[in-house]
Amino acid sequence: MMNKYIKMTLLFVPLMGLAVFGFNNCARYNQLNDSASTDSASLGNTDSGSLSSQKLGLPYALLSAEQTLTSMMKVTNVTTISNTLLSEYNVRYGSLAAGNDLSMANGPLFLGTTSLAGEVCNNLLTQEKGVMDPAARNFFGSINFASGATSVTDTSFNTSVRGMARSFWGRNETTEELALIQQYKTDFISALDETTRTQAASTSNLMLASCAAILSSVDAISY
Amino acid sequence: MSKNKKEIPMWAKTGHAKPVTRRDFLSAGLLPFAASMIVPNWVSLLLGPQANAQTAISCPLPDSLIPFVTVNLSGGAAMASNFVPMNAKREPISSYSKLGLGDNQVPIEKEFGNVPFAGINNGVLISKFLTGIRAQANAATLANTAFIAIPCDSQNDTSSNKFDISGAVTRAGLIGTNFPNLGRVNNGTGLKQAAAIVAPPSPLVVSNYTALLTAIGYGAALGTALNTTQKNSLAKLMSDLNTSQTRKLASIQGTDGIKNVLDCAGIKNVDVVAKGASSVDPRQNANFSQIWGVNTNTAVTNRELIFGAMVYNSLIGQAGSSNLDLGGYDYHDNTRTSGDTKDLDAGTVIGRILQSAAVLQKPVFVYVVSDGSVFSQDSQSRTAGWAGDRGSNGVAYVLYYDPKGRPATSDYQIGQFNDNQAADTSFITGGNPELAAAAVFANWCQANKRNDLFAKVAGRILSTDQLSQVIKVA
Repeated sequence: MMNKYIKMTLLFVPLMGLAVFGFNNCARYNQLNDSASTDSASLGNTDSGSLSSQKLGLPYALLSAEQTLTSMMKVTNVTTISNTLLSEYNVRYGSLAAGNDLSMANGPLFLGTTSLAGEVCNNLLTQEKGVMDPAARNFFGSINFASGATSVTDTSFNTSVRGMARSFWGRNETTEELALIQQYKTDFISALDETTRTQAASTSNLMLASCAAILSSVDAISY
Repeated sequence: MSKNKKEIPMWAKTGHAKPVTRRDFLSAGLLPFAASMIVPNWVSLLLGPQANAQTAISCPLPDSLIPFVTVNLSGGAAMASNFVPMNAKREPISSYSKLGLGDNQVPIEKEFGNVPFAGINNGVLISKFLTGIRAQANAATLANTAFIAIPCDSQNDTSSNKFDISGAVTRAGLIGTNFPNLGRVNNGTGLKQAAAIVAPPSPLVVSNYTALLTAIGYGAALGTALNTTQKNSLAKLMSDLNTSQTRKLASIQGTDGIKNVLDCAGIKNVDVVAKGASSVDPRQNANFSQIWGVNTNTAVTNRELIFGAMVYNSLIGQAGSSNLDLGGYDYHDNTRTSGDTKDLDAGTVIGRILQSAAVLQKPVFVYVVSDGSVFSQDSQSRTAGWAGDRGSNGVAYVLYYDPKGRPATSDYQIGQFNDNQAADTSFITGGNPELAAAAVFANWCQANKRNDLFAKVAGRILSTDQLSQVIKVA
């Protein structure tokens, strides 16, 4: 019987090795090089440290300031840089990423990106509301801008979110993402008084904020 | 051992039945190691990254560390002609004739305890740097400030000297509650110096006061279209969306740190947006405003408002370190006039920083650097004009203010000058800006009584013996 016990051990030990080393992505993407040896020019570790996405070989990168604006305009089909958009870009330039390292992201970068996205979306709204035939609109065809935010149904809102997700993220929104955006819609309307929420401007503002959120989330500003 | 004994199975010895199930194997002691090693991986394989969804995000909390402000005098300031550098015995070198101070009988003005500055010549204080500090910081503040000079040969007129340690202090835990480390120049460090020891996180570049103000909120179309509650909800939405979208990073080994950086940035923004603009405005404090000469009508491009706001937020812990950059220090025009004006300006800024700390009752470490230096024609005059660049007589300063009293120091100088009127490069820090920067970092760690942080961040860039030679803060 002891022989069987030994056989079982001999069977499981290699399996354990396979599981541990086979599924743990050991040394994947050339990561975790010794910091001292990677920077011969420095006496210390003067690269971006262990969080550098380039050092980790991370297959994701951040859009730089210039790339962010270009990308936002491209995915929204906004072709003209308005004065207010240019002004916002200049104000936020210092907060936006100077490079492509994902670890360079910080709080002001996200706030700046969302603010910039808001201005791009403002241009987009102006552009789309100018198209009289709603069916010819790219993103807001399902939205009735003549009535208040309370009249924006979940169906029409979701249709618009789907269009933005496909263009800004290159994919459909997930159930979780949709739930979050829908919750924002609820919160947005709750924050308005009874009169304001029935005014047309509230719908435009709702779509402005939703558009800015989708256009400035991580998946929209990274590649 | 007999064969019979070998054939008695373990489970039989314990009086249990033959193990068949996983639970049986575990109780037999065969698989506990395998269970602990394999099961979490299988869970991940089966459930994917969602398995980590419930893991609480651990955002770094600001440590209770001394605020750190770097002032860069871009262009090569005459720092060895304001503070009077001494030799290894802390005696005057043979001459100061190339340093614009004449022979070695330079009149000395003591400040910060026993620190020698270029003193009074024909009724006028030679050191305009000290003049500027004294004009802004009162006697009580100066009495609570220690000063250390670090002679160091550095390259002239370049941003490649590795003097910046904002990365090191950030890595050590000096993290702002609302802002990252702040800088004035749109590059990796926020000032015209390269990173020493470790590169800093991307600084928030404060090109004007609005940049600081807008960095904590939504502007432009969103600023006018949304009310406060809607802005707060938007910050929450962004935080949640980003947390959801960065979850894919969890499946890539070694990226926990980056996911945390992204998630925490969003989480912090929820709080930042809710607090609003007033929380970052130094003009909320009348005494502070008076130091910097700013009020509600001050233009957003005004340097004193920008510097004051950066310093204010660093001192109260809302921002990490602040990197201030002053231009115009490549002032060798064969006169002393331009240089004196700029030195006075540097002293004024540093005096204001010290006095700001005094008003807010906060300690502060002020690190003053430049790129190279200047020389005068060999002259016995103590007012000789600056003739050109000379990095070999570079010096960096550290000023350490503590509201509780002047911090004790064992010396006012790290390393020494030699009779060539230059930094002695035979000393550890004399010929290497990065080692001089490491020495400053070591003193900051010592001031915090956290020498463990030096090893953690800088490793062995300085040996134990070298550290004992460069640490002057008691």
